[in-house]
Amino acid sequence: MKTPSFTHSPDTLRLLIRELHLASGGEKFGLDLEQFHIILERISAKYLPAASGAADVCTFYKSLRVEELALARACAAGDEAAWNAFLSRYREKLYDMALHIAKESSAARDLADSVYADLYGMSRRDGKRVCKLASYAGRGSLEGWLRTVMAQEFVNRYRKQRRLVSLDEENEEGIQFAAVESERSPSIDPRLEAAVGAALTALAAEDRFVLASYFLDEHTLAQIARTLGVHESTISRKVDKLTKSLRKQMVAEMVRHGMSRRQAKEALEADVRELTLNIREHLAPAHAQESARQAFPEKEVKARTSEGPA
Amino acid sequence: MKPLPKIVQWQFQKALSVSGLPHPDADQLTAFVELSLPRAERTAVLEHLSLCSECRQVAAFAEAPVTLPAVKLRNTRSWRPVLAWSMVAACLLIVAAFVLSSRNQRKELAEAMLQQLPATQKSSRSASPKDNLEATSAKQPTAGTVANSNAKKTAGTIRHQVIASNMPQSSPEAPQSRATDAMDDAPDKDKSAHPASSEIMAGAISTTPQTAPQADDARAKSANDMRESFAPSVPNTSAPNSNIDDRYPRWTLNSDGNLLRSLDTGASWQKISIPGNTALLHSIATVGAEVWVGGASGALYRSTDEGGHWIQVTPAMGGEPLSDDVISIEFATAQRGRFVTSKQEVWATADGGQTWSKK
Repeated sequence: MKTPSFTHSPDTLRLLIRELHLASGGEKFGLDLEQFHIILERISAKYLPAASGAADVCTFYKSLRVEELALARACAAGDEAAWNAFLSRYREKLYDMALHIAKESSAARDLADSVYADLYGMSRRDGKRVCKLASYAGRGSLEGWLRTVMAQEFVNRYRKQRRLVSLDEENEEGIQFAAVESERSPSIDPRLEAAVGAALTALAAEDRFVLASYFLDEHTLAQIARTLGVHESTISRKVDKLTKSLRKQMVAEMVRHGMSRRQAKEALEADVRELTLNIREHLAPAHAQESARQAFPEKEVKARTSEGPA
Repeated sequence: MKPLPKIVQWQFQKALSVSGLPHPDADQLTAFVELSLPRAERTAVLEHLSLCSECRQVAAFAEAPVTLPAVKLRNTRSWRPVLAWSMVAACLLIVAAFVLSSRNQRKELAEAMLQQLPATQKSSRSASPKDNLEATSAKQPTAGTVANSNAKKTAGTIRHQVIASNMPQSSPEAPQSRATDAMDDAPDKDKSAHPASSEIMAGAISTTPQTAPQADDARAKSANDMRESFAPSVPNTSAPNSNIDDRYPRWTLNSDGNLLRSLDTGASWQKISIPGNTALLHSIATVGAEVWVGGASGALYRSTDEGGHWIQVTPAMGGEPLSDDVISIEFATAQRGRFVTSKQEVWATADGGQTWSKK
């Protein structure tokens, strides 16, 4: 796409929008310049801070995938030609994506059909057809967005299934015999909890992401490297380094609070079932807990109801 | 890799139950996975992902499946070293079998010679040196052709060498010069009488007895001669026990992403720094004296003089220079090669890196 050379003023912004509209090919799907302009304004209002200048807006608009954006919005508006183009490009891919995620043929078909129904707009809100494609903002590729939407649907389904475990299954798993969660164990040294909490809080977001992906989600080094766009060996070194430094920090913190080095090392090997700690206080930024965006509304509500006395 | 203490893992697990955080929407997650989010926004998404296991799961699923070039890369990575090392092992086995069998033969022949020694000495004294020379020349094939000759010729060569090692010698330099000459003249199969061999035989037959250490030295030299006489079956004469081309330095990368070079077939390694490079290096390929090295953030360097001088190569496509990590390089010839980036893109060149095509 040709990059226009101009200073950033409202006029140049309009010029840019006209150029982007031409580049998007929205005209052939019945998406005129005015509609396109409104779509861009809504997207920028959603993602850019209110005080953003014309230069920021221009840069943001230029980063959008306008061709795919126009196609998705035209589909959402019910344009026949746009739907034909969409289906010829993504129909087969939808099933392949679902199979990649669900790993099993019938589940994949089910998942693909469900997402397709959402995309087509089978559900209605206030008497109007709600098409999922209307929420596509062109920040990433349309194919990637479809994959993400499908992954969200899959994870939501998994969460529902996990909660709706039958009584028979619970009996099989021996849940009825599960011990009642005890109150805070008096034998646990608070210095240990404080040291662990402090070490985790001090971690940078990327470091915490790497550790959680590797140790908790059991993702491979290659997967994590792909997500972060770095080489696998970089992640390997990082995990190694972080593990060592976490241990070191925690031991040092406990020693600082009066434990001997040996005691501190033994404490790290404590049986975690004996510990209770409100980790949210350590990890979740307070401001982040105040408001929730509605990307996963269902998940959030249910998560709150199922939240235990951590 | 040392595991994370259980207590830390447990606390992380507890952290994942944190809810109420604003989840990034599908657009942001897609842009995050495709590495197209602005830095500030990316940090915010990463902050959320570090706390939200479900969004991490979504992000992992949203990754595009690994494409064909990556599969090719994996195959290349997994099979090439196996085949290469199998060939090395096979060569070593063949050499070891040769050495063992020749030792056994030599032992047997030595015993036989010891038994026949008085008779040999007697006959050698009675015959003139010239006669002996002629007789030996007629029987002995050229040393360099031993590996390719028939069993009779081989036995003949071994016998002569045993004689040379067990019998007294007039000149201590004789075996060395014979070995050298034998190597030099190895391809010359048409020579009926090898001057060096003749010299040895003359020395072996007409000299006076030596002391025990001298005899041992001679035996050791003879063993060396034996090994060298088999050298034509090994491709590299400068390193008979290896099929790696030792005319060129060896190269490797250590776990810290540093480039290392060995000029003594791997006995010692020196860190080589590439002027102007600050990136961690991830991949290396060599074709003779030419070396290609790739690393983080599009770092790609080429040396045509075994690492003496380095040229930074900046492949570009549509005016966009390469900025991803170079995770694998392969060069079949000095001109034709390719490398793979961390985004699984394959860049290929057919003109030694002057122009590139991206797959």
